[in-house]
Amino acid sequence: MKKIASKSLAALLLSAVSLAGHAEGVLLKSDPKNNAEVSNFDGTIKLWFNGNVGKRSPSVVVVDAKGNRVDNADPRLVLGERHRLTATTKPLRPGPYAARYRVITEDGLIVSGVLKFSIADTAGTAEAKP
Amino acid sequence: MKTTRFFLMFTLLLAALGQADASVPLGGNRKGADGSYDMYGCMQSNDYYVVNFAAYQLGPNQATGSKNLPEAECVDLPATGKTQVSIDLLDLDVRKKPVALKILREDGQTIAELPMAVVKQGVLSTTVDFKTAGKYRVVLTVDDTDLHTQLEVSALHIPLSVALAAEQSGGQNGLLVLSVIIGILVAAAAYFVPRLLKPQPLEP
Repeated sequence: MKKIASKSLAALLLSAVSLAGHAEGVLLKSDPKNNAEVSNFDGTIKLWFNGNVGKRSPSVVVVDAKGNRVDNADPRLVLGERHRLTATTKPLRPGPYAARYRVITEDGLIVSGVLKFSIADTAGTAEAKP
Repeated sequence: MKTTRFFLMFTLLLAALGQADASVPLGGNRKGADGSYDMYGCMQSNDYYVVNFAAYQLGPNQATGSKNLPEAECVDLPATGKTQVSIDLLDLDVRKKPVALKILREDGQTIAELPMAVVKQGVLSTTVDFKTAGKYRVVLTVDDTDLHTQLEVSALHIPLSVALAAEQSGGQNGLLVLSVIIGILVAAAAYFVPRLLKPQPLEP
């Protein structure tokens, strides 16, 4: 009897953990990656999430080193197996940039953070090479 | 031994459930900007930040910080008077950054202010006395050390209306009375006009 109760408790514990994991939205990956130095940036920030992300108030803001906004204020969230949040930017000069992103899950969980990347000075590098 | 194992598993279960609860920052049904109740409550955001706003209007005999707080109001406050304004910082990274809060009258005068400080618990709270009905503004500024954006550019502005809903409903009542009067006039006209226009029989 106690064995059954023990197994039931274990099952409950596992399902609680798995439910908690499912409910939370998580940033799976981004392009550019965090702290990456990018030499061929295509002008679009892409972020992928899992979990039950909802359509409410998605946001991406991209700023340069001085805090000036360089995105086109056009965040686009496509819900799917892996939800994709994108935003385009103005042409970016070499230097450091930061992107603040946000999605909200159907459970009301805010998934937000800051992604940092830099655009490599490929022209400068090419000139430096003999 | 088995009892110990049961106790351990039960504790683990409670811990797991507690963890699941802690991951939902908006917490329960709260009144939203349109007066409806849902889990998002009075969520306010701009492109940069998202917060949950709540205002607790204290009764005249209710002490500030009382444990029995009244229902959380959203951005349309029903009355003037002492109000506890509370803002939950929902962006976790913002809880590690200095934030400041100002409450401004419509003319731009500051009536309450919290200086720039890191709020690790994620809840900014202050008491303000709204002396007159009107429009006010709550402004949250974040010294975002990641973005370096000018404070006023990324500031989150939350417009408040204080004791204006009653005036609006007064206006709506006036409109209702006017509608009733017009209705009575139309009905009276519909009754009397055909009778007045009816040709009178000629006297012999």
